[in-house]
Amino acid sequence: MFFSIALYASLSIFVVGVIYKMAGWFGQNPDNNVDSTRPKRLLSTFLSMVAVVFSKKIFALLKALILDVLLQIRILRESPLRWVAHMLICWGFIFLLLTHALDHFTLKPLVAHYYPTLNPYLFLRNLFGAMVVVGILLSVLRRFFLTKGPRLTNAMDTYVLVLLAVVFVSGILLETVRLTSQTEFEFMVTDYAGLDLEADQEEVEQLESYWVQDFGLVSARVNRPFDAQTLEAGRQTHELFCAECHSSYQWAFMSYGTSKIIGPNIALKMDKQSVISFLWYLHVLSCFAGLAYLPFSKMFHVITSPISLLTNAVMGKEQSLALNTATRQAMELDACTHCGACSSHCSVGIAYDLISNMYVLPSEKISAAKALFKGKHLSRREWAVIANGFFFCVNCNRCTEVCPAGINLQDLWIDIREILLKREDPVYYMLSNLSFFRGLKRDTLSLDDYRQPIVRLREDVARKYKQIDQQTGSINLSQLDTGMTRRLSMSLQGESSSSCFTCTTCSLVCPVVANFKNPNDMLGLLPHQIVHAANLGVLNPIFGSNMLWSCLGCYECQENCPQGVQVTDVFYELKNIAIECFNQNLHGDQGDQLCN
Amino acid sequence: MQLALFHCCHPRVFLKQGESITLLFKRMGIACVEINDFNCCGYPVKNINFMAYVTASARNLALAQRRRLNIVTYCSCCFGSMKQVRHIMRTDADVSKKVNATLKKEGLAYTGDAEVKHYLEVCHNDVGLDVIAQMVTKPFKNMKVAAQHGCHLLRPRHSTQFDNPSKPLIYDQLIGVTGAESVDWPNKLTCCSAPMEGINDRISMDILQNKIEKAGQAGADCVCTACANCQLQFDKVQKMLVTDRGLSHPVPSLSYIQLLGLSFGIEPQALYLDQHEIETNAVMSFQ
Repeated sequence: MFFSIALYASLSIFVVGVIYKMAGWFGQNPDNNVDSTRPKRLLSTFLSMVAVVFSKKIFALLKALILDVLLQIRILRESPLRWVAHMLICWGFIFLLLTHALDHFTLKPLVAHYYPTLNPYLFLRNLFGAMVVVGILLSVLRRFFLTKGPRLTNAMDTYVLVLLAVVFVSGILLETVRLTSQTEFEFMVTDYAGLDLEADQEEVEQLESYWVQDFGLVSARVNRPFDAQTLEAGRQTHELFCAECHSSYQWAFMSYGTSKIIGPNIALKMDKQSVISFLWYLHVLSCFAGLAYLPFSKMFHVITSPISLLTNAVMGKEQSLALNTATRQAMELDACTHCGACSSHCSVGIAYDLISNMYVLPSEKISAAKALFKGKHLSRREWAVIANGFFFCVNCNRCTEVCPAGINLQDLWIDIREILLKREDPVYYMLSNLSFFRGLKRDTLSLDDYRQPIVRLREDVARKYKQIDQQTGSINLSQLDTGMTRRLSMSLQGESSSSCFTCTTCSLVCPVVANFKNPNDMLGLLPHQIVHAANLGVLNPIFGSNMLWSCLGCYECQENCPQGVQVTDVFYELKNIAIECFNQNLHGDQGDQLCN
Repeated sequence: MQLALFHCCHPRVFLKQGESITLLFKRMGIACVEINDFNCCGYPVKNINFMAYVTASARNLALAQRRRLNIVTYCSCCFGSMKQVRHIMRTDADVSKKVNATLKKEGLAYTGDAEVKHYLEVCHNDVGLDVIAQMVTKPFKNMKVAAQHGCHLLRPRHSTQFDNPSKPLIYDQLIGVTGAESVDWPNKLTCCSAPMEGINDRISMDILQNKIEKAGQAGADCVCTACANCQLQFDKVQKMLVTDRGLSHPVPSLSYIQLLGLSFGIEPQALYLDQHEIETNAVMSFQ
């Protein structure tokens, strides 16, 4: 009764959860660019799937099914150790599910004489269990001890490992206690063999001796060593009553081994109905908890990762409908297992703690993407951090190449970046060469969508950081900031700026200055004026000048400076300080006085 | 000779220079080793956080050092960036200490051993002009080439140490080996303005257009780039100049890897010349 109620309750939660999640795939539309209803998107997906099945793409699909889904080649490419661990868990679990958890529906109707205590089921159950346990141990080892590159572990990673551990430890202990249990033995002897413990005492003791000898039973009644005659008599009784349903428990090597490890004293103490019940409830409830939690946890990937691998084998961005792409991307977010392969291969992942922004890491971008797709409310500050994190990407495509779930991460970042750029606050990390990729791909966006974030950013910088007093043409020296000069002189390149005597060579050789007939109007301050202003500690005009943000970093100025001022590197340092200040002011932090 | 081939991030998506250079180096007896753990050289984040840039480059150097290999790049920005970091790590004890503390988390350290080479250096210094000359089976005839170095191959000289930054010769000689002639052109050593692409497209296009016009006026039949970013600028952004600004005389561009490959008699498709947006067939007509 309890079992059925718990089973159907957890199964219902599982089914409702799966439907809820899948419905989400067809409903989420963060960009509002897909003008379609849920049924239309569902229909579109269905039609595309049918079209694939009846096209040449079916071969690509089959190839992905065998190599990526069944053999999990992508994980092998990422790390052989990880592949071994994952294959052990995945296949151990599937076989265990079929031959143990669901044996009422699989083996029982199929096999004429099925008893879970008979071989090969007894042995196989232990083998599959051992596969999963070894796999879990390897996973724990890898995640917590053998990490390579940046990898963050979140609460769910730990929950899932703990839940799996509880399922398996309770299962193994349950079988251990049952096979050592004298109470269980007596119950079986009375009920199945029809022997009376008192009237047939000798026969029972012979059988018990044989079971202690060969089946791992722990008895308080009989003691080793047993003579050959007793064992032979016991064996005959065993053949008569027990052998039909019981193979030797030595085949149950996991629990038999455990019983030898804990020893007879502990086994005797654990031989209580309460212990067996406790372990049974723990095992069953943890399994059901896992089933109910599955759609809401990263374990949902057992369903979504294969879907992701298969869809990405046949779907490319260019030839797919926008509404199908939106559906695929929502689904992909559920396929992520937070395994961290993307982050350990991320080209700029090393910077994440230097700039204190975990959203640099692809594995963490996923959680932000989920928040975005669900329309979660986050503060302006949080969105600004996320937007900068998404922009801190060199678009090298490595994350997509290594993702074991086959998620097209790169496309996801590109699309989400554009959504984030439409929000109210400018993304200051755009003021870097990271914008190069977006510039080259500008034909994939409408002119307005492409230009607007850049224009807004530049206007924001120019407005907040007023240059020179427009009316008098003078610089307000009351803004003088000695903190700035102190900070500049802390670095090798910054220190060199004090040698400047404003000879203007840097401005004369600058290709950006040479590009304009009226450089002062177009660029605000010229390079030599920026160096001079930096030496004076006048910040705002520098931060707001077009020149600073139009610097190509070509090192012409630095190469030609007669005073050895490392002009280009000083510019880099000024840009670093400026971008840090811009972000601090946006966040409303109590910025240091440099940023006022 | 073995070298760790460093792939620039942008062309990983747009160009396939890595594949071509592996092919060519194999012919010259140089094995390219792939180190999968390499990350970005850090150049694109220099504006945001200089230390992040230094750490990224230093990590690559440390990875190469652990394998006892030198790095070869086909992008002048990657080259200049890693060379500068090598210089910083060898001369600035404070920075070096900080960076190595970060690298130590992965069991890495950079002590200044591994060297960074641009593939032009490898061709010129390690293989040698005479050896390359013998391998040229399909030389160019009467073709004028505008050489585009890429700023960070030349400047700043104290860290790049490639050639004389105001009067470089190595690249011209390498172009000469293929039978083509490297012409003098007014904007030869200036920036292609790729760093402004996406931030200030007007400047990016102005400077590039000026360069292309100057190269055309000097009689160049093509621009030959030594930097992946320059190549993207001279191909993709030049195409935008044609469509957006009606640039009337586009100049085909190709990388030195491709120029050399063609002179070795390698098929244009094997060098991915068919993937260029600005037609390159004119270049092959000089062979």
